[in-house]
Order: sequence, then structure tokens, then C-alpha cells
Amino acid sequence: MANNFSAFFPAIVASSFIALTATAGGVFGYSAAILCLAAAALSSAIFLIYLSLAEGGETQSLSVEEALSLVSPTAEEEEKRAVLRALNDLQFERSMGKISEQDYQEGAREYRLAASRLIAQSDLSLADRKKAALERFKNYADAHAKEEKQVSVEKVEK
Amino acid sequence: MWLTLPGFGTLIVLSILVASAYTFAQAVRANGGNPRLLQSARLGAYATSALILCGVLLLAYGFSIHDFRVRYISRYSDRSMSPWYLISALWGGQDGSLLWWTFLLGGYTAAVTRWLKGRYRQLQPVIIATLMLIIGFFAVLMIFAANPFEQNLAGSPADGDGLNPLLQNYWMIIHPPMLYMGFVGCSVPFAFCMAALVTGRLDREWIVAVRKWMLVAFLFLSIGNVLGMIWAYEELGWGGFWAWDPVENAACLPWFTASAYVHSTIIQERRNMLKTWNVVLICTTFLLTIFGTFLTRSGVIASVHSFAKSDIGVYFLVFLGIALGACVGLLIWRYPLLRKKAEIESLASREAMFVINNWALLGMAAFVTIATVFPKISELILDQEITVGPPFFNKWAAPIGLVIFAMMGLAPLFGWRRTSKASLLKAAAFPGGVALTVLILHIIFGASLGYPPIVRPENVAIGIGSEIYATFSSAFPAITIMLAVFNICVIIQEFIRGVNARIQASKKTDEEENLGTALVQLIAKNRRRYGGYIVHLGIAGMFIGFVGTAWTINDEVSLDPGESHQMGSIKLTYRGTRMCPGNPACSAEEQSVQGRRMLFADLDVYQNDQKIAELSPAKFIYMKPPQTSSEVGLLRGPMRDIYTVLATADPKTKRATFSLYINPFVSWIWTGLAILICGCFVSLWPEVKGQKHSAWVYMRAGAAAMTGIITTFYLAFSLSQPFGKSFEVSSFQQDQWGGDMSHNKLPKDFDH
Repeated sequence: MANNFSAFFPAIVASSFIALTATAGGVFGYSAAILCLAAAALSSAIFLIYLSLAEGGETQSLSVEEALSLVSPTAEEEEKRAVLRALNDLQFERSMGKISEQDYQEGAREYRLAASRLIAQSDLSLADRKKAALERFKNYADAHAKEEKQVSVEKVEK
Repeated sequence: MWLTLPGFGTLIVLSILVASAYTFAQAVRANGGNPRLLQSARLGAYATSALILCGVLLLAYGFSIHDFRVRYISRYSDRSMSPWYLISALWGGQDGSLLWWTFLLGGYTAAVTRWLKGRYRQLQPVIIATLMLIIGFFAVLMIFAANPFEQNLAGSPADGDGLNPLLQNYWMIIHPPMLYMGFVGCSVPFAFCMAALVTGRLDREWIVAVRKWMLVAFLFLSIGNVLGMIWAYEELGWGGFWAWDPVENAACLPWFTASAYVHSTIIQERRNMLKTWNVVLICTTFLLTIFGTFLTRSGVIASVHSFAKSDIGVYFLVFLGIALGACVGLLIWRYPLLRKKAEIESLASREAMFVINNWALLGMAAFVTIATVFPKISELILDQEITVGPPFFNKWAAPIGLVIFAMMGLAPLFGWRRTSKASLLKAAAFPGGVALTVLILHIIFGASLGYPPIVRPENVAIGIGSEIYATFSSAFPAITIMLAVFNICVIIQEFIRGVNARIQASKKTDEEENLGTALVQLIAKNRRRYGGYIVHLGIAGMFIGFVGTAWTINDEVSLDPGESHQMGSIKLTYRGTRMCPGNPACSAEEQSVQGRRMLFADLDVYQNDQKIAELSPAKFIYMKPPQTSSEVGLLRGPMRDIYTVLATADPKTKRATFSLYINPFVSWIWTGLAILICGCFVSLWPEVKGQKHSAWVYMRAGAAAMTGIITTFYLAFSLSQPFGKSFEVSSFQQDQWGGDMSHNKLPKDFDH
């Protein structure tokens, strides 16, 4: 419920400002409407600066959801997408009869080779990352386990 | 002090600088990879944009309440101005236009920041930092050199000076914002480019994003330039639409490099070639926008359009130097990553055609730049200012333009890498055949129809070389028409081939496509390619409009009331003058006009002895500021415009002198732009992927789609606005002409 409210909060504030602007415009003329909009813009700017300062000063670690939202494609993955797009284009040109079958086969072979090379590279770099992430997770889990053990020993001792 | 409008406005401008500097700092810190700092920078970017919006709205509020304590408001408005012209006064002068520029940049920044959510995470910090630097520069400019909120030192006057009458025109309300949108839009690709260079992520993916943003800038540059042409055509009253004025040239320079880029980037995507070239094109496009602004605002080059001479040129020069230094430095640093990894395999390939086209576009940009600043170059070298005029520009721009036009038609016929002779001949047979047929028909019938294929141009130099060139260039009208037909046929053929390919492919599956479905699917699945072809179609239309100037008929005549003048099949009969308001013959609307007096000279237009329209060219005498302007009497048509200008009129004898023009095909330029806009929107339309989303996402997507459609139609059809007024003429006139019959009968006020 709270999540739903926060998702709609900007829309509610914007709608309120629009209603206020329309009312002011209707009652006092378009100058008042412009002034209301200026006030809305200024309020938004102050609120956004506040949020920015709060976010910039945040020292807590990322939650798992936040960390997952940061996943972005690697250079190899982006390159792979471009190669696959080029291959699609090449097939389209063949279907239109713009290139000969031989040129198509030659070009398609090159693109496929490039794509498979990039997939292999991508897997390799991801394997390294996966290994590093697993190691970090293991250390993290071990540390937590030690902490919990310590706490339970202290509890028993008490 | 801060509680007054000038004081509070100045505070907002100062806040813009502070917010942009803060966001820049956060973005630089975020470059280390901290996601919280990146989010902080993103929020800072939104906040800066909101502050700029607040500044613009405050100035608009000042105009709306006639707060003449603000010097800018008192200089560019008065109490008699309508709300629409008060809004357009926001960018009517130097200081306000800089705030307007910053506002548009703020809008782009907010849009890019929103669009970047979840995309190009590594590039984001530098993109935001670069945009903040540019905003910061404009904030510095406003604070130290051109504050739009500066207070009137002598106190608030009772009334303002008013807006220049030439700017009180429908097109002037939309032309500058569109052109600024184009100019400012070039900052986004530049920011992406800086980010790619700084981070070293110079792969093919960032270039895909940049192409979209460059296309947005290209679209607005096209709209802005053509609207400027329409304004010049209707308002300046010299019979033409492009005079190669330095300010006009400055406005079209980035268009050439942006056009070159949207083509060459495809080569990088397809072949991973031209990486350095593309970076250079993006940087050049941005630098040309700054250079153009420097030309317009510094007063270095004399121009009829430029703002008042001021010292802000120095600021632009310094900024230009810093930006150039940054571009060159980063290019040298990243050159090892940019070095080419593939070669053009054959001259008979699409990439080769694109490269030739790129060189021609860059050559055009270089030619226009050098010719524009030539007075200053000659002053430096020869100690003598030599100005080059429109005939010189026309002489050299025409062949380069034709090369670009020819390449535009040829490139789609080629495939990537190499094209066999057989497939090339097969592809060229239909468009080539039709173009040659049209050329032959033009040679045979052109002269008798009033469009001779050979027109000897004005020779601007003496000597045998010049004479040979003049003879050669006499054939340009015929070549242009032939190339236009060739281009149109190529585009039609491309659509037919694409549809056929889809239908053939669908026959092999269960879902066979009919002609309509195949066409829609063809465009939907290849929006960039087919949107591009639609843009080409628009440009072909514009070229037909440009070549029409070769067949312009211009007469200067003095007529007494009742006298007539014949121009080809058109006869113009002068009826006499009337001063409005005051004359009983004036319409109710003309009687109610305030702030100016209008001297109309009424002309009846006959074609084959049948009256087809009434035209009323006029002189408007404004009270504030005290100024006179010529108002054109214009009869538009698809084949030719009848364009009349009142030069002088004797109030006693009523004898009047007119400049009369028959301008063939001018309307094709405006129609071409409408087509170009549609093509750009097809190319820019975002991918829709079938995913599950919340109702809120669908609502936003629906609103965005509606906004897009409305904007497309508004932009495309606002160009036909003058034609739309043909309802006001009688049906027999419409049947005769098919266009607007009495443009000059319309009141000039926008709020009509």
C-alpha cells in the first residue's frame, strides 16, 4: 500500500499543482497561472535538491534489489547486440536482392564468427565476475556466521 | 532587494549556476562507480532543470503583468501587445534568448536523464557533467553579461518600447524556439561523445543512442531553418526565402554535419568503421552551434538578423576554445581505441556512397563557413573587408548540393560491402529510366511551359574559366529536376522491393501478408531505414522548390488606379489604395487594429481573363516602436506563388510602385518539410516490446504516444497553415487555383 502511494505521489502532487494553476488562471487570469507554475517549478527544484543531498550523503550499503537494478550490459554484450542487428540487416538486404548469395554467405559467416567470439568473451568475463561475486558472498556469509555464533555463545554464557 | 521581481529573478539565475556546479561535482564523484552518487547527480540534474523552468516562468510572468522594472521587459514589450507576442518576446532579445536557450537545454537534460534510467550506466556521470558544464556556462553568461532580470536603473517607465514589428509574425513565434531546439539538441550527442571518450567505451552501442538524439536535433534544425525561410519569404518582402545572410548560414551549418553524422553512424554500426570520423562529426556539430551563436551575437559579421552588438561574443569565443581543446585532447588520448579495424572493400558499396556524401556535406559546411567569415579573413590578410554575396554562394553551393542530391538517390541502390554490376543495373533501371525520360521531356516541352531546362545564371566573375562554368551551370535546373525524379523513383522502388520481399517471405509461413499489412510491417520493422527514405522524399520536394528560383519572373512596375500589368498568363489590375483603420472600404477587423496604420494597395489577379483572387500588399506604420514594414500580398499555389510587394504609393495621385514576382514551386519547400517531419517521427518512434507493465506505465505510454502524434501533426500541418485559410475565398476561386486565394486578406495578428 505504502509502495503504491509512493509510486503515485509525484502524479498526485503534479495533479494538485495543475488543479491549482487552472483555478488561479480561471479566477485571476493567465498571469496568476504562470506564477503558480513558477512556484511549482521552484518547489520541485528545492525538493529535488533535498533528495539529491540526502541520496549523496547516504552511507548505507546497497540492498540486494538496488544492486540488481544496477546490472548493465558489458561492452561485449553491447557489441554482440550490434553484430546481431547487422546480421539481421544483411538478411533483409538479401531478401530484397541487393546483395548476391555469395556476398551474403561471406558477410553472414563473418558476423556469426564475430558474434560467437563475443559470446565466448562475454561468458569468460562473466565467469570471472561470477567467481569473484561467489567469493565475496562466501566471505560475507562466513563473517555473518561468525558474528551469529559469537552472539549465541555470549547468550549461552550469560 | 530579492523580494522584487528583478531581484528574485537574478537570485534564480544565480541558483541555476550553483545547482549546475553542485550537480557537476556529484556527477564527477559518481564517475567512480558509486550508484548513490549517480542517483544524487541525476536528481541534481532534474533540480537544475526545474530551476531554469522557474526562471523562464518568472520572466514570462513579468511580461504578462508588464513589470517594466525589468529592463529586458521594457525594451521588448509594451502594454498593447497580445499574450502570444508577449510570450514570443521571451526570446526576442539577447538576454531573454540566452535564458530561453538555457531553458531548452534544461528540458533536454531532464529528458536525457529520464531516458538514461537503467541505460548506459557507465556513461551517465560524464553525460550529466558535460550538460551541467554547458548550463553553467550559460548561467555565467547571464550573470555577468546578459542578465534578463536586470533592473531598469532609471526606474520603471510608463510603457515599454515594444517588440520589433518584423518579429510580430506567426512564424516568428515558432521559428526561433524550433531553431534553438535544434541548436541546443546538438549538446546531447556531444555529451554522449565526451562520455564515450572519457570512459573509453567507444564500442558500437553508444552510437545507436547518439543517432536518435542527433536525429532529434536534425529534425528541429530542419524545422527551424525552413520556418525561418517562410518568415523571410512572407515578412521581408524581397521575393526570396534564403539570402545567405551570416545568421542564416550559421543556422544551417550544424544541419550539414548532423546530416553527415546520421548517415556515417550507420557505417560504424554495420562495419565498425569511421569511429574517429563520427566522433569528429559530433564534436564539429556542437562546435558549429557555438560558433554560429558567436557569429549571431558578437556582431563580428554584419547581418540583418543579428542581435545588438555586445561583448558576449568574447565569452562564446572562450567557451568555443575550451570545448575545442577538450575535443582535440580527448581524441588524441583515445585515438588508439578509435583506430579503424575495417576497410571499405569496394567503391560500389553503400558505405563508399555514404562516405562520398559525407565529404560533400562536410565540404558544403566548410564552404559556407569560410565564405561567411571571408570578410574577416580578408580583413586580416589583405587589410580590406571583402564581402561575398548571394550570387557567389549560389554559384558554388549549387554543384555541391547536386552532388549530395545525387548521392542521396544512389546510395540506397547499393548493398553493403560490395554490389555486383548486375544487381546495380537491375536496381538502377527503373529510377534511371524514368529520370532520363523526364529529362528528355523537360528538354522538349520545358521552355514552352515556362520552365526552360537551360537557365544561364548570373555570372559573378570575369574570365574564360568563369564563362565555361557559367555555361555548365546553366544545365543545373534540368539536372535538378532529373535528380529529383530519380530520387523519388528510388524511394518508391525501395518500398516496392521491401513489400515484395515481405510478401514472398510470408508465403513460406502460415501468416501470409497482404499488400497493406506488408507495407505497415515493413515500416514498423525497419523504421529507421524507411523513416529515412521518407525524409529523403521530403528533401527531394525541397530541391524542386529550390530549383524553382531559376524560373522566377520579377517585374518592377508603377501603376495608376485602373492600370494592369501582364506577367505570363497572369494579369494584375491595380484598384487603388486605402488607409486602415479609417477608410470605409476596410473590413471590420482592419478597422479594429490598434497600434499601427495600414496602407493597402489592392490588386485584382486574373488568369486567362478570369478573376482568381484579390491581393492587398501593404505598408504597416507602427507607433511603437516607430517603424514601417512591408506586408506581402501572396497568392500561394502548388505550381507557383504570385508574390506582390508595395514599394511606394503617392497619397495624392494614388500612383503606386510594386515589385511583382511569379515564384514557381516555392510551396514544395514547405510541403517537403512536412514530409521530412513525418519521416523523422517514423525513424524516432520507439520500439514497443511486449512486456507486462502496470496500468500507470500504460497510461504514461499512451500519453506520450498521444503527445507525439499531436506534435507530429501540429508541426507538419502548421506549415500548411497559410493554405488552410483558403476557406475564406469563394469556391470558384478555389477551383481555379487550388490554393490559398487571399493570404493578404488575413489579419496579421496571431490571435486571429
